[in-house]
Amino acid sequence: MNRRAVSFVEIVIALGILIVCMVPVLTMFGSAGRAVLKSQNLGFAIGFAHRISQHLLAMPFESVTEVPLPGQPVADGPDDEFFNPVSNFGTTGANALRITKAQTPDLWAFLRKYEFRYALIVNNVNFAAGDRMKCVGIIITWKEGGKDLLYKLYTYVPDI
Amino acid sequence: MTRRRGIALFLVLALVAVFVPVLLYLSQTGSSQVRQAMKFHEVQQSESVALSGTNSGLCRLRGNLTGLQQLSNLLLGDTSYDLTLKPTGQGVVLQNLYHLFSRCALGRHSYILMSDAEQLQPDPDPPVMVISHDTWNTVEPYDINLAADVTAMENLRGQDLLGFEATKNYERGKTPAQYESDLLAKQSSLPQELKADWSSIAGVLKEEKLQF
Amino acid sequence: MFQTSERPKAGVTLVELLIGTAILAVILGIVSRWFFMQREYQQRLSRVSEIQEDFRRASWNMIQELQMARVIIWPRINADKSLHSDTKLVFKDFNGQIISYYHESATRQIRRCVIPNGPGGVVINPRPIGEGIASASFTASSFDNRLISFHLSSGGVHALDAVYLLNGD
Repeated sequence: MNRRAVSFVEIVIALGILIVCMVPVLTMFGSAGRAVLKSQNLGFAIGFAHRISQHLLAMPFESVTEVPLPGQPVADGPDDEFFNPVSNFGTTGANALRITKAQTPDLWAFLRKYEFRYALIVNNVNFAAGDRMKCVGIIITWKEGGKDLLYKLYTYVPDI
Repeated sequence: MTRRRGIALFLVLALVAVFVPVLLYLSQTGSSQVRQAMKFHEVQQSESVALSGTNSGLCRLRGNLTGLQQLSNLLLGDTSYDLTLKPTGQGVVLQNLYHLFSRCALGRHSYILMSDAEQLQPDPDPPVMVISHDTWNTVEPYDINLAADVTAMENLRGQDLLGFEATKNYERGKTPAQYESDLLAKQSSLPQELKADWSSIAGVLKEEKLQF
Repeated sequence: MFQTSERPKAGVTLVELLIGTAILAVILGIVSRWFFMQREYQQRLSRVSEIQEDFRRASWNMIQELQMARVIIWPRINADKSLHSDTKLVFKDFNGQIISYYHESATRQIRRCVIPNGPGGVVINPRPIGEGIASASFTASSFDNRLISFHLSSGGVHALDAVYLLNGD
């Protein structure tokens, strides 16, 4: 029997097949975006932890103390040896910039959005009698899509 | 019916031909980014752990550890590193001289730090004074337990140290005024970003110049 | 004798065509809007991933060389001991040569040049250390001029890192 047109049922079935084919593509876009976001924040956390480890080497040994979890926030955080103040293009301390909404809005917004924090776990280690060294666990935490994420880096800080 | 079946088949094939590459591309975009982030983690982590390894080696020397030491699979957190302490003789005040190697390898990345260490001989009890200098790094995958690789690193580092000797001799051979004048003479060929502050920078370099 | 009924004419009616076209137009409108949105999203993702990769490359290039350097010449802490930042960094490398990293805002690059600590002219590296970097700052904060922190940013993406120089002069 020759049919002259496409029936409604056929249209609905065709639409259904199209939607079923679209769903994996849509989810792939979403997961690709989440992966890029995750890698962006992970890359940032890696550099963040490395920065702390380098600053620890320049600090007086006795100043290397524990910062317990849940950690110190960086945006709007207090002055510390690692992040605040973050820069100073002037010639006196009065020009120093801190990570606040007023002074470094772009950086502040990024750190606030993902609630980046750092914590330090400090233990004494002893490879030799009479020598002093601290093993510092640097923990960076942040939030992504409602989940708490964490990056850890261990380093030795000698007493020199 | 045959014609309609043909059209339907064509449509299905067209859909597959469009969506499969799109799906593959998107999945690669996401996973390649995660791979690159993990690679960055391996690269940075290997550097951090190798540096910590160097500090632990110096700590061991301060504890009066002596002689050739080849320590493998030492742990810092979850990451392992290797240490080699190679005696190279004695100095003028009878201090023990060492070449200290620290290596961390993660994934396909390797990071090695090599430095000189002088272990001064005190009264018998530790801690011993240890002076470390001229720390040098490489990302080449040398094996710090293999004599040939150790020699290769010593030679490469030695070449760089010869360069350092040449610049030290140059600085010692100039008075502060001559040195600063030579630096200021280079101002015209500097990039624009450096020109404005070059006289201040030259002043700092003059202060840092070796006198003898 | 019965007449055979006429065979129905092949083809579509105008109404069917109009309805079909309308349905197709609605579907195409939804799909094309979705495709354009996703294309823009995808372009944004690519930009962010390129920036991340640029930052990683620039950071690693600088860290490797700075770790073996001997002293930071510029910037240095202020007279009142507060930290000081600049868009350029000058230091002496392992060989004692004077090296500078500087940010070129016009090209969004971090470039490297060698100012020989001896005879010879300035040599600017033909390839940049880092590309696609909208702003870069180097900050000195330690008394012994052996710690340098840096902050790279571009398009809302940031990198904060630092290097402690292992060799004193």
